[in-house]
Amino acid sequence: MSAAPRPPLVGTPVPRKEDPDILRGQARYTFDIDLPDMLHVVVYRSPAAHARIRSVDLSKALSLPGVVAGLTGEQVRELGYVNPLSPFPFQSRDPFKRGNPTIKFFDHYCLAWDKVRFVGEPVAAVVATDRYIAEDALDLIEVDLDPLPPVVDSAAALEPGSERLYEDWDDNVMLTFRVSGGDVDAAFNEADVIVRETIHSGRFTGTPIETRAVVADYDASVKTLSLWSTTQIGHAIGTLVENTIGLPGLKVHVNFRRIGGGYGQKWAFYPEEILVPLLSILVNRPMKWVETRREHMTGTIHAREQTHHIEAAVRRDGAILGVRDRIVANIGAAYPTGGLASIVTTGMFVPGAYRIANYEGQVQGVVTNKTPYGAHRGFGKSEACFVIERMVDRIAANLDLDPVEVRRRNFIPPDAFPYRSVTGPRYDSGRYGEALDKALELLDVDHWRKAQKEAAAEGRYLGIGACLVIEPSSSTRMGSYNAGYYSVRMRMDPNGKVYVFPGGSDEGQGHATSISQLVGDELQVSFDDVMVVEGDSLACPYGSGSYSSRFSVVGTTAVTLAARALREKITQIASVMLRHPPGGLVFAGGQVSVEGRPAETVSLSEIARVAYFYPFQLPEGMDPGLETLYHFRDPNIEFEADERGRVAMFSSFPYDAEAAAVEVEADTGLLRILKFVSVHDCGNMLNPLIVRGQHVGALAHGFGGALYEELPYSEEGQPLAASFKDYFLPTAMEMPEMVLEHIETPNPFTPGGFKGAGETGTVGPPAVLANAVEDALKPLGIAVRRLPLTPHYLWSLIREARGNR
Amino acid sequence: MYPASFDYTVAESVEHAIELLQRSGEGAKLLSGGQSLVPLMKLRLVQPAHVIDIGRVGGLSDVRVDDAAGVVRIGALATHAQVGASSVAREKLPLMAEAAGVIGDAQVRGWGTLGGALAEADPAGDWGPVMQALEGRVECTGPAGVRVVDAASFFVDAYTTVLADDEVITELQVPVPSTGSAGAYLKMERRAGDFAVASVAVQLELDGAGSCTKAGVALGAAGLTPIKAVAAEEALCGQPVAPEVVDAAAERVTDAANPLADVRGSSDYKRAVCGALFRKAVDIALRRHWGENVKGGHVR
Amino acid sequence: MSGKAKIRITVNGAAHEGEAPPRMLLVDYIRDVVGLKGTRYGCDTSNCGSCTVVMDGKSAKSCTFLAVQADGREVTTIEGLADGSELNPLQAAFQETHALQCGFCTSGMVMSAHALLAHNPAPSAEEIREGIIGNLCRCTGYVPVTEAVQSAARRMKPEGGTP
Repeated sequence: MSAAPRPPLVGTPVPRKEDPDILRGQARYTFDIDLPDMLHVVVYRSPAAHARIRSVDLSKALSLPGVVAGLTGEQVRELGYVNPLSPFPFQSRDPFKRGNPTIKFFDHYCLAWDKVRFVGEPVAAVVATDRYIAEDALDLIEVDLDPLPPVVDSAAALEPGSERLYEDWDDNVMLTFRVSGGDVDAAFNEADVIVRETIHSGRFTGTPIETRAVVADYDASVKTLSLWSTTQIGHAIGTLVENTIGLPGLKVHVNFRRIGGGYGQKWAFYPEEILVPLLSILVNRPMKWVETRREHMTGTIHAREQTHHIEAAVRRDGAILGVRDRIVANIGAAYPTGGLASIVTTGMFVPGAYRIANYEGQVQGVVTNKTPYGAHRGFGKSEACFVIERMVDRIAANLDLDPVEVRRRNFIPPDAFPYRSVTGPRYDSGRYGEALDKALELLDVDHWRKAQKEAAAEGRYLGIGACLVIEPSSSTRMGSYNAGYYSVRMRMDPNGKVYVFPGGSDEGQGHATSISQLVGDELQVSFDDVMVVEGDSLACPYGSGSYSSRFSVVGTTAVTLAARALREKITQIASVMLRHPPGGLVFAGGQVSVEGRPAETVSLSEIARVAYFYPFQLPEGMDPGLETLYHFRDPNIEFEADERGRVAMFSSFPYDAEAAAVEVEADTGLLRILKFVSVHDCGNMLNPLIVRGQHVGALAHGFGGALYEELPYSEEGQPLAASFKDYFLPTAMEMPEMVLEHIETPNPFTPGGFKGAGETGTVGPPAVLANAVEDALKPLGIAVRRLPLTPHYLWSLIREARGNR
Repeated sequence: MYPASFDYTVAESVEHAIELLQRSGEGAKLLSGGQSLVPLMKLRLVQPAHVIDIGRVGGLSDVRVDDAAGVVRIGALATHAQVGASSVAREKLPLMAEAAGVIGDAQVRGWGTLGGALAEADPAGDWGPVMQALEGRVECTGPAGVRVVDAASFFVDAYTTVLADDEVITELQVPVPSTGSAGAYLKMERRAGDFAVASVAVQLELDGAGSCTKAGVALGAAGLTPIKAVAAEEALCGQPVAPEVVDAAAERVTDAANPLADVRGSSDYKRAVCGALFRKAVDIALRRHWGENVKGGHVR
Repeated sequence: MSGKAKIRITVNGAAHEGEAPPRMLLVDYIRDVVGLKGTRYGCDTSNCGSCTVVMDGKSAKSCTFLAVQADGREVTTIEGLADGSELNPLQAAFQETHALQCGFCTSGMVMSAHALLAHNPAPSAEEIREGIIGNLCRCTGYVPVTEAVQSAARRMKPEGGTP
């Protein structure tokens, strides 16, 4: 008998299949890998921001009992077969055809050899039988440094006479990019008012609770390097390692099955991914390196630090006619990270959710003696949205209009989608006005306006703010490792179970669960009969990794279409077995039946066994087995930028309307969030439980960057927040009461209607809270121009406005 | 990160600990709960040659009232959580119970000891200002016997106290405030569980007419050591605590504060926070005096 | 390393006798000597709480203890909660409310919540949030964690008790 059809799994809040192992303590992460005869690597890092290396002496360290080996930068270069770190994310030094952006490069090795350029840069390594002894050895390494003037501030780095980080460059500018559209000069000529601001985004970063770790095991007999790394880009790391360790015939197997969070920080090519394999090759023993948190805070990428010199041409009614933005990003030392791509992205998305026809963005990535700059959830768009959402409120303040009205006047209207932005991207869908209205309704603006008046009478400062942030997802770039496709291999085995091998990897998003929902629906197999194997560079098809919320856009699509291809083949085999045309066959409960004739049924495993074991019974020309490799190419992107830098690099456009009521306490500068609302639209929701989890988690990053997290440096280039004692990650107590709503505007470019999810939350809080603070402090005429909104900063603003009293 | 090597001995008694201290000299450290010492050793900021574990010495963790002496006696090995939950502390020394609840996090409170925290003398520690505002005393036991040091003169510098190399803190003695006395401990953090941006302990004794007869005011994270704001105490005493009296006292609080700039704020800012917390603490103390149930502790 | 000390720790009900250099951290003893990798660490400064275990009935950050300090004590790790493959009510609630994502902090978070519920079987949301500030999570934003602990408290509530 055929089974009854089952309600769909997609769209329902299915609990995750990943969880039981984790909850029983059985999940294994990179630093859990123990191999026989394994040795432990520690890295000596530069204590100076900028210095020439005179000498590195390991002799004392090497004489410590238990220490097995050591390595310096000079020794790495002398090996002869080790190349400078291969470029990432751009796959070569000449990825662009039109010279826009222009990028300068530098030959970094896995250990510094000529100069050190930031505190935390790897200088030497020692290897010992246990980690305790290895750390003892670290204290015995003698490094003689000749200090050079530190370059810390990006404006100072741009001064003509500034000390150069890289002597063979003619300045400290690593990247220059321009994008424009429309007639910007005409817009400014036509304007009633020009609003100019300088707005600064603070340096902060992702800080996954799992620090980075690398385990390498080189087997010389078969020239195979087994590498375990906490990376979001395992396949790319395999390629980069092959490029960099130039041993002929070297085979690389990268394992990246489970990482403890990434948020972009593990989307870079790190020196330790060369150093640890190299030591395994040199010593011929397995090696493990586990990053300390202190190393992580300086040796793993930072993000977000940008200064925007922005001007807007506006009409008296609030219409934004044109925008010019000159963006200077302080990108720290030049490293193979996603930092360059993120600042280009900022330049592309300053227009945000608004129909701005005339725009010019200029981006400069300026190197300094700070930790290298890279990806972090929100990737460049966060900074862009902060700036434009700040500008809308500044425009409203200048014109004495309600900021909400200025937003409504300029929003891209729902009927304009798919909407081609002035910088090239094609926005898929959206109902911005509706989302914002809903957020304001949930906030209860009237209530807070009344409360604001009452508070003012008592000398207290209450305010409300709103924002509408977009977080374009699933990025793609010409000549880079993120090339806009997603591959999935899928196999139904002879038992009727489905094995899925995606080209991506999981950072905690629950891919196995989502894939099981999709495949379960497409093939009508049970959720538990879908097996997902991810993060193995040899078992899975090549892929560009986990980033940019791309799994929910291109990943789910590739999985769905692979399942449909498999279903098609299963249908054809079933058609032969049931002697019935494919058209009338239905899938349900692990079986295929003739519609309306429940007795005429074959199970999926019976079909699969025919495919594997009775290939001669298959229709003529059909290959045996039930296995498919599917490549999905994103249809909503373009590879080639035009002469003005315009290109469609992102394919889906989730967004979030946020509103908040806050109180600022004048004598301490404390900011209290009285109510916080988010109305989120990521298209159709594949798993609402996971979407909500992603969104709330992203909001925590947003609150962190808005209020708590900051990576300041001293004038000497010393990092002042080098541990969780000084870098203030939000705890449970820092999360405000939140009202969360969803609206679903399907993505027309994906079969499931999904957009990216889980990043808008990082983008909104800085904007909405800054806007609310400015509203609260309106009686003092204060403008908020930087992040984070620390009590000290707000207190200083208030004090200044009151004439330093 | 891992500690450098050291010798380790479990002390069986206070006397044993003193003997071990005498034997090992300057390079020895006492370990009680270890909630501050172990992290410092992991960062190798502290590298003792010898660790003497007093965490298992019995009889050093009671919280009890000594009516004859008019004090609460708190064993040096009492944990923060124990003091927070102690009915004696809650009844007789609500300021201490309040402070106990805002130290670190649940894990730290469950294992960290009062004696350990005082001996560490972190400039941002919570017990220093609380002990000073309550005029508490620290009992230190050494080879020559016991001496009792006022909390106001216990701290010498950042991470430095009057404790000799061969002395062990054995008890805290805290005078029980008179009935009608009320106080508040307020602490501002950059995020929950962090060290204080600044903290203020206030304990006021008021007579039937609402006039302040005695005031204890002390500041945490406002300098290299806890600071007893004596001038502010004087400004509060001898009159009803009217707004202009609080203003004058608050000015003396900010004068007394000499905080160091760090990622939590500039020196000027922290000084201003001391003043603001002081005003709030006085307000809460007064309202508590009049029977109102007001929340103190964290300022969020 | 100055000698080794003999220690005896009861881990998840079973006695483990072994040797540890005095400087060995309890977290390393649990992971590398006892071999239970579910207890993890992520900060070195006693902030993240990933290494939280329950020791003698109290939550403890095992990276902030020397193994020798645990001599003679009873330690429960994440591996000691479930009955075979059956999740306990707290673990089940974590799954149902989606209170974990990457899972790295989860062992410590669950152990903190476990200790919290042992001391306070019916905590308010505020008490839960305050109770887990020693555990940092970078994925969940904590809201589902609070919900999980509340839900577990309801489920574990003794007959006739008040929530």
